[in-house]
Amino acid sequence: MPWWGWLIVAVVVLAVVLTSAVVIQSRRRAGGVIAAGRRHRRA
Amino acid sequence: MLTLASQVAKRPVVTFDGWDVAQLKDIIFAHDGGRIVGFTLAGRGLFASPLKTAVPWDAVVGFGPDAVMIRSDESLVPIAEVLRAAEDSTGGGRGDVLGSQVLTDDGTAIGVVADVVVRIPSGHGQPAEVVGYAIAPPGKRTKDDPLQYIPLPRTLSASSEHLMVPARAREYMTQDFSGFEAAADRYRASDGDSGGGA
Repeated sequence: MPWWGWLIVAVVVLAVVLTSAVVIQSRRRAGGVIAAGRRHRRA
Repeated sequence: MLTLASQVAKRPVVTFDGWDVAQLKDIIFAHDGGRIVGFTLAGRGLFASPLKTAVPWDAVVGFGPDAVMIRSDESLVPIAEVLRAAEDSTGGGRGDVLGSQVLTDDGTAIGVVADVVVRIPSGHGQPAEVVGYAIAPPGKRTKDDPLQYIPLPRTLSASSEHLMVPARAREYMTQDFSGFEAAADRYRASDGDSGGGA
């Protein structure tokens, strides 16, 4: 495979990884239960 | 009707005109009483990001299993406005209670909050409130670990790092979610409610 073929593969893999990270992050952040006025947060 | 906070997330918010304007993200409740004051929102779709607006509970005209109804998108307000409605004179701060340790007032750690039980009224204009915690054992949880549901007093406190509950509430803990509403009502009707959770 020519060098630009590997470049395309690398770009596609990177795009898939970044997209997955964004999706996972957005799903993880949904469903919180926020106590308004709470002054401390558990780490 | 009792439901879990995790089941409320991602429910679509629909206007009377039929527009699907957002989806629910987080529940916001008053730390000193459990009253639900509103919900943060996320946009619709796979890559939707959180919105800067929230829907106040007072603007919710219908809370069904498939959608949350509001009159129009003019019902949406900045998140800070909803938070202000819940904060007392001490102001400041907000914190997600999920993952927080639950301590009884006799100093016993009973687990961490894995989910929150909320009571959704059947009629418009009535308050919704947090009535219980779903508690997982401390440490890493597996799917086989059953959740324990513990009722909260009306005077619950979620203002600091540890979430405090009266030791007496443990008598009403159950693994049976379908029977939890009755247990919570019994607990609140008992003398334990007057003792407070803070």
